[in-house]
Amino acid sequence: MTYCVIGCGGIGGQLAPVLCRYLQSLGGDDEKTVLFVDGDSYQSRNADRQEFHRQGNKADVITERMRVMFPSLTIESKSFYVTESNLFLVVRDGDTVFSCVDNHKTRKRISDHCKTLNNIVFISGGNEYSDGNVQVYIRENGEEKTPSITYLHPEIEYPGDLSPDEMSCEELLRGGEAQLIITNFLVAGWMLSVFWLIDSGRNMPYSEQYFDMATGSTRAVMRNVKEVLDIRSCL
Amino acid sequence: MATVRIICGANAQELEYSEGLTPRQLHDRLRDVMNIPDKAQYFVTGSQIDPDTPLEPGQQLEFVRPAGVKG
Repeated sequence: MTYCVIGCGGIGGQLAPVLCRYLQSLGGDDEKTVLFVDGDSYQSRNADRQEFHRQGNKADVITERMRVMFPSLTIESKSFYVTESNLFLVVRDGDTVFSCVDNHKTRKRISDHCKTLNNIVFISGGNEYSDGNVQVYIRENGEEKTPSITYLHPEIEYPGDLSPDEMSCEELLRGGEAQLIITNFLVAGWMLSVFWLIDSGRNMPYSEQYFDMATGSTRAVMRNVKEVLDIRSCL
Repeated sequence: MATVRIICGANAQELEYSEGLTPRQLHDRLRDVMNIPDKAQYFVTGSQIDPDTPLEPGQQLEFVRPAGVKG
């Protein structure tokens, strides 16, 4: 079984050690592979939210660290940004995918690829400054068990942002907006709670989870595919 | 007392129903309190509705919140 973590920044970096520890604790004879994917590099400015023992490509650095901590797992890295042309190398039929990326363009790419597979668990997380959400897309034997992450989310279906591979060096160096490590941590935690529900064979009672630190609220919702007038009108 | 239930992201509230109340009016009134984004979609009991359609007592209105971008 392969567990693919796409994006090794604020969310992915917090998700990684907990995911690996959980997988190692399961034991068993089946080989468990964790694949980290990111084209970005750790820089000193990342240290306010992200843990790393050296600068360098995020996927490579986190893989080094996880291999030391969790020797019973097979841990691999791919040091590139995912694109339409390389996603087939990253996400394969039967995988579990954790999308921890920081742009909707890449979420849309992963979502489109997952729709072409027969069996996939795709868990996508994202946050603003003090709130966030987690979505889950499950396909079993070619059949959708939950709606796509683009359903009711025109901002993902028609992304207005750029993926990192489309950005100039200046845009990449400029970095993103301010984020809270605590919000990243909560997204990672909810993504893992979704994974635990699925991995332990429970019924998935929701397809989307929202939280808001400012009000202390969380809400889970199971989206049902119904007629949507025109989601582009909401862009 | 008749009410309507309003949802946006993680936040939910029960409000007293008043005749003619529309999603657009509630959007304006609750924008700050419930952190409703400008570009929200309006759903009542799972179906998308026009923002100027008056609500009925007991209905649940969701302002669908965009997914978080950052990570």
